[in-house]
Amino acid sequence: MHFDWSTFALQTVNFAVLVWLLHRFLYRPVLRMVDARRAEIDRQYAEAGKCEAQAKDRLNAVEAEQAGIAAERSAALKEAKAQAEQAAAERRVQADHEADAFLENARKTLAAERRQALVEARRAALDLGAEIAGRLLAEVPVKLRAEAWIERIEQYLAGLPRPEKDALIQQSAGCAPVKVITASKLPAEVEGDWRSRLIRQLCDKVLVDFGVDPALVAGAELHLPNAVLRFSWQSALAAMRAEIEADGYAG
Amino acid sequence: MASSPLTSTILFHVGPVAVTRPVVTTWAIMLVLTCGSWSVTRRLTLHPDRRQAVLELIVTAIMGQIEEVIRTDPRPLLALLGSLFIFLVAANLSGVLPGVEPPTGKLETAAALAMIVFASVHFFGVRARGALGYLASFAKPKMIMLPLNISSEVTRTFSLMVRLFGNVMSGEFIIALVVALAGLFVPIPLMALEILVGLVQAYIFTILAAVFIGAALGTDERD
Repeated sequence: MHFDWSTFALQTVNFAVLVWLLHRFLYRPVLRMVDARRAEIDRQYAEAGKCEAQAKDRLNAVEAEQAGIAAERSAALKEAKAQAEQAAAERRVQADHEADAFLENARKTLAAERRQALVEARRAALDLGAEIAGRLLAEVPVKLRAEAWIERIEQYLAGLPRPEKDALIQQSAGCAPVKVITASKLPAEVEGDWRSRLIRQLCDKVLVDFGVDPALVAGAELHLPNAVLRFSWQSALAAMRAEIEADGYAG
Repeated sequence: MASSPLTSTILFHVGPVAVTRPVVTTWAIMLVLTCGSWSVTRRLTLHPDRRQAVLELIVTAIMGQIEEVIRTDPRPLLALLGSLFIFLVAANLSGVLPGVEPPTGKLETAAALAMIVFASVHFFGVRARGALGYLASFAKPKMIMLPLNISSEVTRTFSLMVRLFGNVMSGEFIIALVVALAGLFVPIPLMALEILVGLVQAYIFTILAAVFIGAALGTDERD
């Protein structure tokens, strides 16, 4: 067996050269490309991580915004609810006031209508009573009725204080006669009696004349030049109506 | 009559230097590997095609294998160990081609590769640990181990050489005998087996070289 040292040396050099050649033409380009791809992947990873972080930040911002919107919505709802409750309370108070005012007005109206109805009823009752009394009085003989009226007139005139009576006498002593108005025509006999009794109460110079006014219902009125003495039911009824109306408005 | 398989045929002389057949075959392999590497790496892109993907897969697989053995950054050793593996594969399989003798079937080639591994082990060991630290590692774990460690450095290099040379040469020798005795197509199964043996021997030689360099780097001790 022979060992060729030159072949050994050449193969050693050959392999060393091959190592350099493969390093130059194979490993270095491939590793450079692998490194570049890895760097690209790392860059894309970093970019993806950055995008992920940005997305997370945006997500957090959106979530915070949503939370803010929810809080704002809740606050707005709460405020709206409070305003609605306040408005409802105010409307309720206003409605209570309006209802109270309406009730008060209704009560007043009812009371006024009741008073008015009472006045009307009293008037009607007065008219009815006057009508009934007039009918009943119509059944009484004229002489009796006239006697009652003239007695009342005499009592009034007799009861007058002297100065007032003198004033009436002075009025009736002139040229104008004292006119006696009755609700119905008095018989001539009764007229004569009334004339004499009035002259006796006033004075001899008094002229007495008679007239008829059915509106008087009953009784008589003495029409002097400057005064009217009323002894009729018309005046009494008018006084009563005035009293009734005064009571009704006062009540 | 054919020449002895244990001797290298001298093809020509360059001055006083005799150029044998294994050297020429090695030059051819170097040429093919260099041109092939240049052709496949001249247009590399970030988005690889199938050819580039296969190339990167081979390179990264070699790196991964080296890293598994030495447990550290494989890049400083990639040129040496990767070239060793690729050259061994090419050289061992070159015997399949008609009329080509694998350079690794000659003792000088195997010895040259083993010598390069031997030198690389000490180079990387000294570079990683420093001269004194590396020399001190021979006396570990006990001083008594110093002669054994030193002798093992020589014997394991010798075993690298003999293993590669013996396997490849024996395969070639057997195939030549069968061809001479039986005929043209009979040794085909043996040639297929020789392909497998060539790949296995390339792998074993490279891995053992990585183990030796890794031991010199002391990565296992640091771990």
